[in-house]
Amino acid sequence: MILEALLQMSEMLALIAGAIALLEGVLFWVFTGARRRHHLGVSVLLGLLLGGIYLLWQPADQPLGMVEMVSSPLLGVMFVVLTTKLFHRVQRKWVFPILMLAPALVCMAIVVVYPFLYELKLSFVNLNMYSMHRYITGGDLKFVGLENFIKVFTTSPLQSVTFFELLGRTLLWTVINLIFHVSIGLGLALLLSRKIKGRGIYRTFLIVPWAMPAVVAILIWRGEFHPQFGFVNMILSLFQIPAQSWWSDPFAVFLSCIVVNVWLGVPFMMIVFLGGLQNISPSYYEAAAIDGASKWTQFKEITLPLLKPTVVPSVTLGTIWTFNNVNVIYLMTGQNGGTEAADILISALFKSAFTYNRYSYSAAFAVVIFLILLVLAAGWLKISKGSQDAA
Amino acid sequence: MQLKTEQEGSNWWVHGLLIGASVIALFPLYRVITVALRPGDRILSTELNLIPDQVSTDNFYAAFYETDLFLWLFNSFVITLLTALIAVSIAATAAYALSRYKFKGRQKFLVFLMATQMIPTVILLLPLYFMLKKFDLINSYSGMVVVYAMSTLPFSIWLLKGYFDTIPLSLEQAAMVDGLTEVGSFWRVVLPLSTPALAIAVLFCVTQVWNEYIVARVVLQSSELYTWPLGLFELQGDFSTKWGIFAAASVIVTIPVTLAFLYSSKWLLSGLTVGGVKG
Repeated sequence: MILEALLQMSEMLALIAGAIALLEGVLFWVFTGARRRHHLGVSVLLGLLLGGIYLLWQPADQPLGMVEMVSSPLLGVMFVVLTTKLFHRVQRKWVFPILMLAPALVCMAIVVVYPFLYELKLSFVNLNMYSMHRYITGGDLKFVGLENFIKVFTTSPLQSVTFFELLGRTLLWTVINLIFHVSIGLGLALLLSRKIKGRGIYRTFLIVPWAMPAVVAILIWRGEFHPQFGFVNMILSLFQIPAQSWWSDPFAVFLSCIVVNVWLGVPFMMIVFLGGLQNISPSYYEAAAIDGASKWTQFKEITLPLLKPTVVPSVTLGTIWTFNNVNVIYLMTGQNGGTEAADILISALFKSAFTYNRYSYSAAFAVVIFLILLVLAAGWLKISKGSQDAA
Repeated sequence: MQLKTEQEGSNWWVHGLLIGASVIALFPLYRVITVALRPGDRILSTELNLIPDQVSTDNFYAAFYETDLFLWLFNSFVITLLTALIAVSIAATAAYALSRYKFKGRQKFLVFLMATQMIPTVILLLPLYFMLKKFDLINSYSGMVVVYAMSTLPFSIWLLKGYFDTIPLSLEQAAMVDGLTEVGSFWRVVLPLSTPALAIAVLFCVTQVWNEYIVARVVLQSSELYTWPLGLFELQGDFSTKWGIFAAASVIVTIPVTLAFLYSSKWLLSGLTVGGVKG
């Protein structure tokens, strides 16, 4: 088994190294080849090579047509010859950085740009579980216009919860989590920045929720929210509070997700704030104390303003992470159907695509969520620009 | 630099709050350890005693021999290693070009990379799934590495670019005067100087990939290729029968990773700032 894995690993590394070498070679030739002798011959060979690789790359189960067999080498040759002619004037000093950037550019194109365009295409056709087979064998899809987008707003991505409920819950989820993350994180950071015994030990203990693998932590919490055998209800019973059904009651499910996410997210904020606090020079406080400022005034007038450069980026990061948090909700509420009471936009998107297999529907849903993220990002940019100008 | 407080004697309430917070932070981990150590007939107990009255290692034995825990860990290890290796190598060259050459669209590309960090993988997971399906990469290590490149590459580029910016250009100019080519000065001067940043980048990729669940759920469908998060989820789903085994497996997975994280947290945090300082 290990041998097999090693084989697979080295095969993959060799493949990637080969692809990068080919990419660099072709690019190098395109930028410098035209000035050499026999450049037309080499270009034709390179083009044939590219066309051949394209043909080999095709999945084996789809027979190649005659048209493709002829056209792809031809296109390859045309591509190399034309680009060599076109780009041979590129200055020598730019060749190196272009070659250095090329693998990352190609990689980003493959994993971000192309999938995004593909998703746009999917959102305008009618691909679902039933038309899937025809799509794979024949490749035919019906264009349905905006139908999927209308469906996103009018029908449920899951079983009954609507888009607007999800949107509202997502905002609620993000705001509640951030309030707790920031306030508890700031409080603990203030405590830890005092000169007390055992600071290092407290700090180590308090970042354990962040240090633990999140999947394990969430799964442990899910177990501990078990109505009968988890410690949450046992502790509640110590205070004479009746046991809650954390796994089924809609409100309790959402609450348990928030508890878990707050528990997971506080240490990060704490550490970031602690770093910010330690960068504030003690001389400010000394000067303020001499002038007779109270502790509260010192906090308000020195700590908060000087902490702002740390707070703004970490709150931004926190917002993005919380908004996009699939892990907590998916792992807490379980997969196949399960309760929908805690789902936010992103987790509903995941479930509608991969639990309910509504492909085109969820492509449209993803585009909508992407637009919401875009609006949020633009809004944030405006706010942070404004505060920069003011400062 | 530490803040000076005058009332060093009377801060019992600070200790009180910190102890309370520490208990909340540690309790789930402590509790799962005690569950893992319970003998089989007491797994599902409704008592809340802090120190188990009977200790047995049955659950650990079961986690080792009755589950595929080692296989899962091995799969996670292979995928993490491959991703970190590939992502950091591709990122290093790109970051160098972005740091040393001022070309048109450079700033735009950097912003684009930052923006991709805001898009969660789930948004693009569906098209990525179809692409992997087309190239027969579902159920393979390679498919995982491709998807993970999306989340690890941009951040690594930013981080390394920030570090390269701090290396003085005169070093390379001197090296080039001495006859090194551009490739040579990158390979022999800049890269060796950047070992700390490269290590942080690898560390980041490892922390991102090692704990990943959602992508693995979609891409890895045969149980032989499960990574440990998938495996643990499976164990946890069967609450009544395997709770003890799940607890033992969690402890085995968690303890080394947590210790490693606590040990390396200083560098991880410095990485957070290295990448963000310069634009």
